Formats: sequence, structure tokens, C-alpha cells
Amino acid sequence: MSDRSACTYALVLGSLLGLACGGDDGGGQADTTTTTEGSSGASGDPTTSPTTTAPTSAESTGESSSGVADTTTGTSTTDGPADSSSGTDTGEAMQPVSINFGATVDGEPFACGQSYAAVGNPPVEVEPMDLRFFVQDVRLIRADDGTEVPVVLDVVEPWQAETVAMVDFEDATGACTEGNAETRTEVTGVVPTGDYDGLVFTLGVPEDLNHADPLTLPPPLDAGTMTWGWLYGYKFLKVELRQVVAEGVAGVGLLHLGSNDCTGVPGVDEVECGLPNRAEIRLEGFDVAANTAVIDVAALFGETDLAVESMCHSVGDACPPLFDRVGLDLDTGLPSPTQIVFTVE
Amino acid sequence: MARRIATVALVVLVGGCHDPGAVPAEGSSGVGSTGTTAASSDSTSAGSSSGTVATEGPDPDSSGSGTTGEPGWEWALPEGFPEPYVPPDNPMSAAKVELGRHLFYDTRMSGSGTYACATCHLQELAFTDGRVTAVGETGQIHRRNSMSLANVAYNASLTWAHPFLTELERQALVPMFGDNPIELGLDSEAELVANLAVEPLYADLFAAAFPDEAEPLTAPNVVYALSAFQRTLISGRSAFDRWFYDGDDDAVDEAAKRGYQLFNSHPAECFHCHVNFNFTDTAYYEGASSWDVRFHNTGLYNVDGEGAYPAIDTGLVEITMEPGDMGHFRVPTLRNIAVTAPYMHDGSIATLGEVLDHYAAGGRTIADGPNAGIGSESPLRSSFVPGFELDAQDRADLLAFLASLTDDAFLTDPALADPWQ
Repeated sequence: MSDRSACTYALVLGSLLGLACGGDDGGGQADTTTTTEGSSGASGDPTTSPTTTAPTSAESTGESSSGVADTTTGTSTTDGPADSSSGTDTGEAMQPVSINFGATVDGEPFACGQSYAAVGNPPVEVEPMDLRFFVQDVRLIRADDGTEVPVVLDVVEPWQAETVAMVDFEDATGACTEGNAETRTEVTGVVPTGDYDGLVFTLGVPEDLNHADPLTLPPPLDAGTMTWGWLYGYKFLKVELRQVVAEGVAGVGLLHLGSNDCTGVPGVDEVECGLPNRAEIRLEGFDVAANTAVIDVAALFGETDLAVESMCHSVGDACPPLFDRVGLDLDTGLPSPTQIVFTVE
Repeated sequence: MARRIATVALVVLVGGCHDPGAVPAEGSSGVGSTGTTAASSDSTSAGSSSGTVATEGPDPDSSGSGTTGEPGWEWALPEGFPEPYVPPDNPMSAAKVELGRHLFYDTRMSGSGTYACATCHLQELAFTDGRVTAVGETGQIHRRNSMSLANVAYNASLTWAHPFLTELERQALVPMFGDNPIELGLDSEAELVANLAVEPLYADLFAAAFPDEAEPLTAPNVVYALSAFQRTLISGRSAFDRWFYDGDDDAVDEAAKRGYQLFNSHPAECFHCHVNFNFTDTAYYEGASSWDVRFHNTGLYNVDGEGAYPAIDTGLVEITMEPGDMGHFRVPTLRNIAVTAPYMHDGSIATLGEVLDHYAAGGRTIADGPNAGIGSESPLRSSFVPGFELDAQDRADLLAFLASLTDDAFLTDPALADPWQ
């Protein structure tokens, strides 16, 4: 771990010293010639999304073993909706929460190695190949005034770092071959003691981590099939289905969500992405003690022809219905109020 | 701004300290000029046809000349070659290079245990694979031709068309963990480490390469070592070099010399893009004044009359999402080009002679089929591909020059060969 910590430290140091230069470039907008003049002094390290501020209560501090925690310290912002409640003030009573996640295929439990008779349009028999996602900016909604209170994530290796957690339904059985046997169906943390009746989270990896070198980051952000080398970021959501066929070529349904239209050399420039592609999932009436946030894969692919190769790598002809259903505007990469994939159960 | 000033200062410093003889002779040809400086003048005439992404280099304070290696490391560089840029966190060492060589040729680097880096990068083919397009460990046929790794240390950007993958350490994650396409098919760092841990030789190799670490067999160290080895894949002692840099007038024949003159002539325009010591316009190295990353559309396709390339691979536009970047790809080195057939990003031209025909025509015409179109009429085609007269003598001379760039010592160097054999 020592080398990793050193690398992360260098990353943070570079960021703090303004060595990771932001470019006031044209973002590739002008003609076909793009000149990114690295201008230094990118202060404040604006993130596209709010990050939680580490609490000072003893319960969840002192997790300095996480390089992710180191990275966010000093660059976190207090802007944004997560800040409205002052939920992490010193001395406020905190309570642990465990947010349960589930996965289904048209209401049936999602499981690698199982097949599902009628998914997609037209409906065909499919089997899962993968289902994993990252969540950031997890919030609970106060029952009394509707304000959003950030959940301060526990640091749980290999699943959770300070500002991001992985949910994993892939167990390396059946047609699922790109992950491992372990699964993770909960996100844990602490919130100020109180009554809550809603859950909000973002499918994503925080911007200040999304383009860092995965080899310098601890799990769940270490290098693997959730890293997206080509887009030098992470797959926020990775869902893959395969048609079950007796013979011939099987159709595929695939959604890899990640930030796209990015400019900047990772580690040298500040990377900026024109299409963040971070969906915000808002579940009203969610009782954290009793409910489960369930993703239904059949709902995601409800308009998709799974008898052919329907692959959306955050770009491509297969994307429009998938983006719409997961709650993203394909043209802007920003959240839209159209998501029907996650529900409360 | 601090970095910009510091960068300029370093250039002056290096210019003053280096033996002028180590810098390619200027004035004689495009080869002689240092690429990134020359490129800036190109950009004004390139018009809208050449996509350029220029960013500044890394912090020079931590990567100054002479600090690219551990104590005792010495580059063995051909005449005319500048010192490669090395990231400050991965200084060169002989032990690291030797470890990297073992890893490069080790099939434990793949998920199935059947594929190594060397499976698609064969030394005798200048670290290409001779295929039209590559094939991954699962048998998946890729869409792109395996690129030569000769002089990869000098590439300002890596792969065929990516402006932001600039370091080998970062690029390595693409073949290792990528799933579209699957190349080496690794699933996780843990899988990689477990695969390698069964080989007894690695205990000593990792310990020697990373002597300060208690448990050096880690995924980051794998990538460090692979990158260090790849930076030693330097090819600069071809017959052409013995003539041009060493003054051996007999090293190449008269046909090759005529071909070199044609290469640098204005109707042909080859030298604009295949410029400097590595015959590409995207070189980066210690002391380079800026980090220019350039891409061009050569009129290889024009499937819609508006310059479109086949949907399977549209090049730079996939990354930048700028319509004008359609069909833009990086300029590969011409060193060892005679042994790296087939050619172009998709391997769609079988021979060098046909490549010359494509450029002489100012773009390729495909008469029928799904990719039919007249490349020379593409509005996106580079202004450096205007077309030119090419008679049989000229064609033979140009081929002779290109053949003179084959570096047999590089293709057979035991230091770069499979250590497991």
C-alpha cells in the first residue's frame, strides 16, 4: 500500500499546488483544431457534484487508510443541495444507516446463471452477464421539511471509499465472467439522527476521482472491468444481458454509463467532460429501515431489441431509450426526470 | 503560467547544455527539424483538415534532463535521437526493464493465460502482428491494426486516435482491462497479481526492480515495468540512419536516395506529417517545447460524400465528439514500415506500394460495396494529401527509401526478445 499512498499523495499535492492545470480551451468546439493551453491556477477544484464533508464525530473519522479519503480532503466543496441541512455539524447525534439495494428482471430476482423468458422489445429470452454500479452523493430526505441530508459513507474495503460506493450483483457464475464471486447489496454510512422518508443518490464516481489513475486508488476504484481506459474514467453503471439462443449469434443488451466528451490529459490537465452522464435517482417514500432500492433490468431494456447487438457505450444508436429510462438527457449528459429503472420495494 | 515559463526555461537550458551534434541537423530536410516546433508552423497551413490537440508537457521541474533514470541508468540512443520523456514517478532502471521484458512476453498477463502483449506485438515485425486487425484473447476480432511499438517512448499520444492517452502507464489499462474489445481480458488487479505470483522467477525480478518495497508484486509495478521496457524499444540504426546521420554513403543505394528526395519534395508532401527523427509529427521527448498531439484525415474513406468513415471506426471524433474530427488518426512512425504490413488504422491496404498509390491519388477511391466513395473528394481530407504524379521510377524510389528504414538490429536485438525462450 505504501506506493499507492505515495501516488495518491502526489496526486493530491499536484492538485493542491495547481499543477493539474485546467484548460480554458474551446473544449474542442472550434473547427477541428483544438489547442489546450494548460493554464495553471485552477483553484477550488470545482466538482460537478457536491461531496460530503467528513464529520468530526468519532464514529466515522480516522479512516485515513483510504487514499480516496485523502484525495477528497482539501478539495471537497460545501456547495450544492447536500449542504442545505448542515447535517454534519460537530456534535450532532448520528445514527448508522444501511441502504439496501436489490435487482430484478421484470420482477423476478436478478441472478447470474438464470435465464429470463421475455425481456426487451420484441421480448426474447436473455441471461445476465453483468450488473454493477457506483453511487455517490447518497442522501436521505427529511420527513419534516424535505431537505436532503448527506449520508456519510463508511469506508469499507473493498466496497466503499469516503465519497463513493459500489453495488455489485455480479457473482462470476453463468454468463457473468468479468467480476468475482463476491456481491454487495448495501451501502452503509451515518446520518444525523432523525426521520427520513426518501432516498436520493447519484450513479457515478465523483469528478475529482473519475479521471485519476485507477492504479493509485484503493477499492472499489482499483483497476478492473469497471475502469474505462478508453474514456480514462469509470463505468458508473455496467449492465449486460445476452440473448439465449440454441444456435446462431446471440443478441446483446449493454449499457455502460460513464462521462464522455472529455478533454484534458489525465494527471496533467484538469479533465472536463461535456457529457457527465451521472443520473440522479430520487426515490420518494423510501424508508431506509424497511425498503429496498430495486433496479429492474427489464425496465431498462423495455424498448430495446435484444435479439441483435444493442450496445450503448454512453454513445451509439442503442442509447436513447436506455438513457431516457435511467434518467439522463442524452444530449446534455445531465439528469432528467424520466427514470423508471429504480423503484422502492 | 508558472509551468509555461518553466518549460521555456528548460528548453533554453537543454539547448545550451546538449551537444549540438545530438540534435538532428537542421535545414537538410524535414527529418532534421524537431517535430513539435516545426509542427506549429504547419498548423497555420493545415487549415481545417488537421485536428490538433496541443497541451503543455508535464512539470519540467521534476523531469529534467538527466533524471529519467535511477542512478546508473544510461540510455543507449542512436545519433539524432533526443532523450525520451519519462514520467517522474517511473524512473528507468535496468532491473525494471528486465522485469518488464518478462512481463511483456508472459501469457500470465491475460485472463485466460494464453495471451501476452507480445502476442500482438512481435519483435520480428517491429512489434506488430501482421494481421489486418488484431485478435483478442477470446478470439474477438478487433477493428484496428496493431500498431508498431518501435520508438513508442517518443509518441506524444498513444493508440491510433486518442488525444489524451499520453503515457504508457495509463494506456496499459486499455489492453489489460478493456472489454470493448477484449484484448488481454484481465478482470481485476487481484487476478493479475494472482496470475503472476505462481511464477517463482518473479520474486527476484520484482524485488530487484522495486527494492524499497516489502511486497513489490503489485499491479502498479507491473505497469511501471512494462512501460519501462517499452521505452527501450528504440529503433534508429537503419540503413537510412547509417547514411543520413553517420555519413556512410554506401549504406543505401541511389534509388533510396532519390526516394528520400521525393519524400521531401513538394508535390509529394510526405514530410509534413512524417517529420523528424521518428517520421511522425507527434513526437515528445525531454526538452520538447510543447506537447503537440496531431491527427489527420487522409481521405481513406468518404462513404457519404461528406467525408464519413465507416461507422465501425470513425477515429478521433469518437473521443472529441467534434464532427470535423471524423476520420482523423495519428501519424504512425515510418521506421520499419516495410515489415509492418498491412497498413492504415484498419489494415485495409495490403502493401506499401498501394499506400503510395492512395496518397498519389489524393485519397482512396472505393468503387463499390458498403464503403464505396471517392476519398479525394472528402471535404475533411488533409491539405497535405493533395495528390501527385507518381511514375514507375518514382514509386520504386520511394519504396526503396521506405525499405531503407528497416532496422534489422532492432528486429533481432536479443535484449528485446522473449526471455522465456
